[in-house]
Amino acid sequence: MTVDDVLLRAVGLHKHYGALHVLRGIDLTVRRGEVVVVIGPSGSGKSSLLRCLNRLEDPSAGHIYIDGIDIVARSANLPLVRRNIGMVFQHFNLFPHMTALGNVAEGPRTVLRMSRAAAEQRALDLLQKVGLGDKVNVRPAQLSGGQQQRVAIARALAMQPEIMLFDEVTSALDPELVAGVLAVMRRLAEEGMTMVVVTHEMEFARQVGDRIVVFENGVIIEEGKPSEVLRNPRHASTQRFLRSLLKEDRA
Amino acid sequence: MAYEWDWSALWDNLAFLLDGLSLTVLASVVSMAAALVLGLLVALARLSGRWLGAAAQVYIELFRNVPLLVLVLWVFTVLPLLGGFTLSPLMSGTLPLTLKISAFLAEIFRAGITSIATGQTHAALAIGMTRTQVLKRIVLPQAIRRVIPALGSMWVSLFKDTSILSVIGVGELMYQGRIVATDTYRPLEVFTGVAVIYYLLAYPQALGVNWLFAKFQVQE
Amino acid sequence: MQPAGYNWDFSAFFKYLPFLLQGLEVTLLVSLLATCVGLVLGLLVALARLSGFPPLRWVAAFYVDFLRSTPLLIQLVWVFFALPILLGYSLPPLVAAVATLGAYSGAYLAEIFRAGIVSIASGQRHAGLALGMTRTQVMRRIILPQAVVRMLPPIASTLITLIKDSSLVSVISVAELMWAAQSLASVTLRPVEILTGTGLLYVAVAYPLSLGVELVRRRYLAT
Repeated sequence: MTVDDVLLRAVGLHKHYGALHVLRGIDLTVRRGEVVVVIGPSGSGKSSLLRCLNRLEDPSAGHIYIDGIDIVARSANLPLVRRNIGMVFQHFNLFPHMTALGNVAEGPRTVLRMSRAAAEQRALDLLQKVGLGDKVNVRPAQLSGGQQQRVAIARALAMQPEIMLFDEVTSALDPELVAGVLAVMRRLAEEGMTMVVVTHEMEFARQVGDRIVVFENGVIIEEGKPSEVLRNPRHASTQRFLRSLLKEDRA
Repeated sequence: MAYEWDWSALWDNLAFLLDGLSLTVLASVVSMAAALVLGLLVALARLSGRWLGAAAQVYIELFRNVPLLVLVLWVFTVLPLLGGFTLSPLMSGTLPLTLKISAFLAEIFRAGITSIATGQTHAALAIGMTRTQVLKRIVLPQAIRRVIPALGSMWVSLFKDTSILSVIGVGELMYQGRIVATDTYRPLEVFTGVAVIYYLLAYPQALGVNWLFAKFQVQE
Repeated sequence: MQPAGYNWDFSAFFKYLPFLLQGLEVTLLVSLLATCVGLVLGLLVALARLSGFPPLRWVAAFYVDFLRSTPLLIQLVWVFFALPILLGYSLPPLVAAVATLGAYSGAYLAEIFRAGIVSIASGQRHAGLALGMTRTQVMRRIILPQAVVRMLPPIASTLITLIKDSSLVSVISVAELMWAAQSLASVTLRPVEILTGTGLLYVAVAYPLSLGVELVRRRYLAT
């Protein structure tokens, strides 16, 4: 692994919410083309980590280097930085006053200053890619959760980011809609997209993830290849957490 | 002895009264237009930094808590003494109306803007929009739509408030009514007529506002 | 034409502050009395609007609509100048003021009451009826207790608005704060300071009250 391969490097990340110490010294390295899956119990800090990575929230301490540039520095141009990082949210956060096409084209038009025609063409291509070519003029309210999430993925992809962040994107979906979204994500991974995925979907982690990172109480307690971490977790907490997930599946 | 109603006092002077109505509408329209702009600016100021936000808050609380009558008399009598210039009664009337309504509108806009779920702001920032772009493309279009019914309510309120301008001699409906009532010695018929005219105008507008509330119901 | 700058002199304001405060007392008295009238009237009208007797509903609805669609000023002027002609005797300014403000706030309070009562989910009404309660018992034991708590903030806001609106009764010669201010301004020939000070007096009364309402609402009524 050469230094050039590293796309994202978080060093010594801390995050406080008042008295709550949510991230306690996180170091994370993501290489180009890698799919890093972050698992752990609720409240362990996973979402906060993602939100710090595109500075939707500010870390209390630490540095985040993307392509070598420290985005935590005061001089960082946040809108510019965020163009390069795609984020997909648990609750989709689509813009309700725009159609699916409008949502996906909004970034290219307003941020990248593309012409309306070019932006809409890009949006059309992406919507087709995620399987919603027939829903381009539909508003979010008329789409299922899974469809909305796929539009959200297309919206993030429209900015042509180098890295995509997924924040529990299937947690709010009805079970039968989860597969469709995971399929889109798998395809993205196969095409070589660098991804950081926070999820509870262990099958996806096992099949698509290059590396698993286990969070608990604001620290990374375990890290490694999916086959190792999921089969033979070294840490007792990881074992407990995985067992609890299995129980949920059975129930 | 039963009172002998004489409605001719009203009918003969109807045109004169309706002249006042045109000023009522004019003052309402001008004040509302100015207040919309001013109110939005103050709302944005309120939501921005600490000093600007505090100043905006002072503006809002000042003009919401001073009675309109005080404001009108202050602008009419005090402002010329302070500034050395004179304002026509209509200007002296429109300015306090604008100030008062803008303060209420600022609160309405502020509530509308903050009601747009923060998730959308995050999504917009995440694709690289600046805060200004987020406001312009995502937040304001929805916020304005959401507050339209409340704006309608304020309009009806403003329409009635113009009656206070009668105390500084602005010839709107109320003022015209007082002149006619005094001239004809028939306050009962004339003031009843004026009240009915207000009712016939404001009530349909209030119904329109109800319709707005029904139509622009928020689906979250 | 530009004066060098107005020479502010608040001494007249402070000298006659007691006079103004007497006016403020009258303002608060009128507002409180009117609110009491309005509360009783508003509750009756709200119940009338919700009653099963159509003519009662229409009359109540018309009362609310008419008084909310006409400016307070015309109502005051009508009650003070026009109504006596019908009645055959004149009304003392205070009585006219309280009656008018009471009826006016009653119309707004009626809507607040009605909305509050209706907002208690009908499921609870059904549950009460299913237990064998009469409609009155349901209203008294289940609906009204919850509705009252919910309505306290808007009711308090109505009182605060009434305090501001009461400035209009100066027009019918009630010796409240505004009237006192205007008398003082013409006597002392210092309208700038008097009117500015009076405006600030109103703010000093209304603003803390509305802050208080907001605080109470947030603390006790956070749903």
